[in-house]
Amino acid sequence: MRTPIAWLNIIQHKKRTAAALAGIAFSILLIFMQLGFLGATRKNATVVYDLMDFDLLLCSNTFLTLTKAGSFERLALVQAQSSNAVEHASGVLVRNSLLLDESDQTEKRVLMLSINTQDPVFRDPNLALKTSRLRERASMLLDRRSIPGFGSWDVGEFRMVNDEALQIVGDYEMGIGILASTSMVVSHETTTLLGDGVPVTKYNLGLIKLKEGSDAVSVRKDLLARLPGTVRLMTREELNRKEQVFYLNTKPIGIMFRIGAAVAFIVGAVILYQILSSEISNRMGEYATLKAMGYSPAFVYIIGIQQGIIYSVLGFIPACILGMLLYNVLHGISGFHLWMPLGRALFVFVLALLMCSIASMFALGKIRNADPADLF
Amino acid sequence: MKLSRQIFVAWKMLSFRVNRLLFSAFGIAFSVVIIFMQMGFFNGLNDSQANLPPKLLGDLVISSPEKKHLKSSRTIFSKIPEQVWQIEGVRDIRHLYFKANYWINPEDNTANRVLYIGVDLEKPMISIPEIDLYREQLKLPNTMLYDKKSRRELGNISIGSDVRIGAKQDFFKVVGFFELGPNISYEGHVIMSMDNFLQANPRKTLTQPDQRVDLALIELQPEADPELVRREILNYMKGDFFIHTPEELFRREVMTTIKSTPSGFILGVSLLVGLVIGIIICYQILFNEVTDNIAQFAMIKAMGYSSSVLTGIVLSCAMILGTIGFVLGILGSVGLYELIEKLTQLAMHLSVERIILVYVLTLFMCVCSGLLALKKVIKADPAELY
Repeated sequence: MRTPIAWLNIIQHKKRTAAALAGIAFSILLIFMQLGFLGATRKNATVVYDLMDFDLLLCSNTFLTLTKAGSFERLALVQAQSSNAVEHASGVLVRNSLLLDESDQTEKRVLMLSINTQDPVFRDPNLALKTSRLRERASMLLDRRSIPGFGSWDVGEFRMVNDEALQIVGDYEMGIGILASTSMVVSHETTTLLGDGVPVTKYNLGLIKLKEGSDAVSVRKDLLARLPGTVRLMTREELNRKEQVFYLNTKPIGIMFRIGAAVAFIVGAVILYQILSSEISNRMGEYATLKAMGYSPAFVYIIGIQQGIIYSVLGFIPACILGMLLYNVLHGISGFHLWMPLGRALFVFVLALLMCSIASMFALGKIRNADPADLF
Repeated sequence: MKLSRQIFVAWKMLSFRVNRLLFSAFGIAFSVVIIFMQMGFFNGLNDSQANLPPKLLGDLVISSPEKKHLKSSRTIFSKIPEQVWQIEGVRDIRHLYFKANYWINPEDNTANRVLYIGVDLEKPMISIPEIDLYREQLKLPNTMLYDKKSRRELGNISIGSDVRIGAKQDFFKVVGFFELGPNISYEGHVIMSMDNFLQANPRKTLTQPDQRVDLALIELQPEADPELVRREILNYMKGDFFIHTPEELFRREVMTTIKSTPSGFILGVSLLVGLVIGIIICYQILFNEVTDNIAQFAMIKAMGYSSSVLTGIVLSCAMILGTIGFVLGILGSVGLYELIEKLTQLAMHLSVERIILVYVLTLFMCVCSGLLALKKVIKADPAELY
């Protein structure tokens, strides 16, 4: 039989179908949002490291997270540099500074990265080129991606940072998300200037770049033997994992969004069940007729399953489009790294299908009772 | 038809099929759970961030004018709050110290941040009864009370554990437990005497370190009017300072959390989507209810009742469904809150005001969808009945 019964059932009552689809689409949208926030938090946890060029990170053994990294003596970096496998090692300071926003005359918290301008610190060649401009006295690079409500500025202008006038000599795009209003890069000389002339003798992060062909794990073993016990070394993967664990598990942000997504999933399944079950009740007579005509119960089941699948696919499409739009809007408002990776879209699609199979499993129980004898 | 009659008709209609009624209420209950969950996260975050002010026992609190929120490390010269002795109505003043510092997990040696609270053992002015219980032990050097509800990352701590803490990583002994709970800023809390506090968290000031305090808590005479005393203090005391009641500090802390993190925004958007889902589920249910009872509605019309009676019946249906759904939803939410509290260690409180707010939101949701479903009823034509 080639009549697409499931499809015809769905399009018979267009208004009712539209309401049903809206319900399914919104629960899928809620899943998208929760997963989007989860992804943004995960991305946000490593956004600074993603910009930097290193194979091993040297840090204090009290390292907790980027902004609470602890500090280590400059000497440790020199010791690390003496290894044959190390191409170069560079110290970075991470501080919170106050930048005077001229649009509303308030001081905004800004994450300040202080670097050695002689060293290649950043991966992006454009940004690496701009760091040479920082050799100028009292200068900074400012992040274009700031929280909403941050006043506008242009390269060449001066801004007050910790009560010191710094010139903006360049810009870059990072987006610091939840950590601060925005971020900036300065040279260690400028940091000294901001700190009342106290020279930089300690660093928060030590970026170690290895020579081609050397293995990070074995070099680390070798390096740890030379270095004092108050420091530790992490590969990029270990570091990223540590930051993600910190934000997603230690801070309960990740758990919150996961529970949110799980509840949205259950709600979606409940809505879908409601729709399928009332659909089946309304068509009991038709199903009974089909049975009376000699079609097997399996045939009738398949119609129900097809309807479930069509509902979840039709609900998924607008939810995905709406999700992308909402990601864009929220990204604009909050500066959060919200985007739609293909993997997430596929994952949610699988969830939608799963939702439909659970709902149909429960709803289809009724079809079995469709008795031709009850019809008349 | 009187309103009570309309509600009665609505109830008869709904209770005609009990299974269906329960099932519909179940659908609404789920949207109630979404609302409760998002609101719970929002309040849980805010309440946990502002966990200290409700514990403060003073009537008025003096702090540095640069201490814009309690997580700020700005301190005030104790000389400034000490001037309150000149003001009439003041009974006592005590100091409180705070400092976020390291805590080395004794099991795996990882560093974490906890908030150290230094109290005046004679009169802590902080509502943690365990301080009185362990006063004698806390007078000894290198001792502390540990918050039993701190995050698991701090290690499995028992009474008698020696833990390396503070910038110098000295060993301190846990002499007892109290309960407060962690928040986004701190993985745990520790209480110690002022002397121990200053040893673990040395102050980088040139003057006597104990001359600077974080908060000065003022206790008033029972008959004194706090507003009057506050005005006196503002009029007669010299120097720059902030003066708040603990309630004001709580509200300020919550506002700081909302402004400085996107939590309010994220959870607000999620709440809104939850509400939309609720309206759609509710509409779906009411629409089916109306479709199945269309003959009855037409009959009521044929009997000469106006559309407003029909409106009343449908909206009553919506309210009844909403109420039953709400009751089921709140039962589910209590379970979910317990689960979330266990998993996230956030303080998830269900206060009466919050419950009422969600009930109002639920009714709003149901009335919205009731109005959407009404269209069909208004069109019900008695002539089509037969």
